[in-house]
Amino acid sequence: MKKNLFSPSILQNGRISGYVLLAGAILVNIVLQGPSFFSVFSLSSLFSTNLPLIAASLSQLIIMMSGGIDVSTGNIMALVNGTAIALSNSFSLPVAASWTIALLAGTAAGTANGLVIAFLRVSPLLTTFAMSILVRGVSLLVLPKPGGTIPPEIYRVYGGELLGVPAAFWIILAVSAAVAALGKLRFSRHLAAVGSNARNAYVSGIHVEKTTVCAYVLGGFLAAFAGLCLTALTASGDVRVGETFALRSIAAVIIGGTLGSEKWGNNVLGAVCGALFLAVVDNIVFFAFNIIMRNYPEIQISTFYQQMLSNFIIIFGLASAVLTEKRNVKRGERE
Amino acid sequence: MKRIKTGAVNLFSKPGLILAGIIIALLIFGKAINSQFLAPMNIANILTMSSLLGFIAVGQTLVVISGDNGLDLSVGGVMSLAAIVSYTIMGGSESRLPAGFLAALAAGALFGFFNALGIVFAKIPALIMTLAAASVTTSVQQLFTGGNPKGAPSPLAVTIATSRPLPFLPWLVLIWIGLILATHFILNHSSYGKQLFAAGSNQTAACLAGVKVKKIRIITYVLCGILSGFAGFWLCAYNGVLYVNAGISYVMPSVAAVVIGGTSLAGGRGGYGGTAAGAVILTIINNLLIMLETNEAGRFITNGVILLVLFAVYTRQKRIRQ
Repeated sequence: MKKNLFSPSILQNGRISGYVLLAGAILVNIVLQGPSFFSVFSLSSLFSTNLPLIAASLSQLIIMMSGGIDVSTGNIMALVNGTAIALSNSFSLPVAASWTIALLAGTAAGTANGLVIAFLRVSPLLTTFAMSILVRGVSLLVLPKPGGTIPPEIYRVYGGELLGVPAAFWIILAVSAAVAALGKLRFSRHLAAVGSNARNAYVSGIHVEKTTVCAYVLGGFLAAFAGLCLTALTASGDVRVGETFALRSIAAVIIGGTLGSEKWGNNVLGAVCGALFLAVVDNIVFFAFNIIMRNYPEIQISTFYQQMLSNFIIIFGLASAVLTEKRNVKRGERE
Repeated sequence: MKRIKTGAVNLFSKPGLILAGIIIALLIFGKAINSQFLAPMNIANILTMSSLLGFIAVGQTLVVISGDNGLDLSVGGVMSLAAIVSYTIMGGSESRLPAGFLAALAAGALFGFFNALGIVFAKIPALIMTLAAASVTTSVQQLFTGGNPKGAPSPLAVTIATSRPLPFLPWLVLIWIGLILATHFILNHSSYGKQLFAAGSNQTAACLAGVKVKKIRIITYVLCGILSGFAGFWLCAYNGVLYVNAGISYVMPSVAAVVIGGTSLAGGRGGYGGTAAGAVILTIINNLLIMLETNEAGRFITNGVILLVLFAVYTRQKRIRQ
């Protein structure tokens, strides 16, 4: 029915690489930033800025475990952001109602992905690519121009702290625990079976279509949640912000390097670590540029260099699964 | 040498007639909603836009035929980058036209090779690698121009891109026809073409038969980059004024044109004739949408739906039960 785009054998070999990379990146970050890295403010901004990416990576993880992939994640997040802002600002709906509707809209987009992939049997890459264009159009329809606000309580709570720990950290913990708890359900085993070989899963009596649709519904819901986090972070609406999240979340899952592992919890931790690695690397780039600017004021560095560097880091992340792979040359790929 | 079956669309075969029928139906529909639709000016306009789309669709067709889920979503980004490079280098001067032209092709080749590195050596799925490369081209453009491109195309290039030997027939279309013939020759009569089809339809068999699959794929992505650069040069000459990511709207239609043209997204089957017809169809649809005063959101939605329908019709996979 569908090919596993990143075959598990490639990813298993890099199992510890995600954690090692993260630890290394954090060390470099501490060296560059000094002890202020451990301040509540610095940690709080690290977690709150990157909560959307972490949630998006968990969404991507579930979909990739089912053997699929979602390149529309970022556009779904933008749709949710636009819907939440447009409903509460232009249509003066209560915030709670508009955010719930936004969450449902994102989940619906994920469901549409799942239905097309499972029942029309179009490959996940192509389906989600077409859907990303469609969703982008819908979100431009919902919120044509950037703007709007959210109640200040929301972003104050989101960027604030609880019991001396950043609120965003609690949310990360709760979401990861919730996704990890899915591992207790029979659904998680069905998902892994479909992901590793849909035909074998079918022969063993698993309802492949139902499992696939469930994976995309769940993925859509988590992407929608990521979109709400993004709204709380940016405190306004702009449907053009989400673009990079699809690639970054895919890179995060691959860097996590745990896909194909038998333990569900490992996968979740891997994806979160992968996302945190990308986050910390962004931090490092930021501080490195800061240090250069401070010490050599005569050098003018455009911020576009930072963007380009972070693009290259994403590509490095996408390639990382293969860089750690053992030599396992298939006949057809031999030169 | 025996000819291999490529599944290419022939104008007089059934799919060819269907495509011709769609074009005629769209033209009649266009005439019905706007009496100026079939005026020579608008026909020339449609043909010019189709040629630009056709240029990058050549590369897209080659990449899709090369198989292994080949697809290049960076064509629009590379096209924009090449356009800006030649725009800046030419700076309105006649003498620097060759330099601008070659620089556009070189920029395309460079990014094509970059894509090939990620896809062939790091084994990143093509769609994802090229999506990532597209965002790299965006930041390179911004870096190169500071976000605000300055320059001008050479007058000669502008003349070629905007003038017409016949009222409805721009010079660009004649270039396009040349490219169509060249592509047809390369695909059907060159050893590269035969190896490309072999690699795309079954890479293990191709490898055992002595085809250097990796080399063929690398050449294909580099060619795709060069053709995007070529399209970028003419985009620059035709538009006259450029902005960052000016060619980005050509990405989706280039994929759709290939699918409409009957080239299999699984690789190894297809040809350029159908893609060229697909490029004309999509340009007419876009022209109609603009005529119906559809906004940006409406165009995205229409394009997304067209792609979804095309994928559902052309790329369905087998049931598990079989």
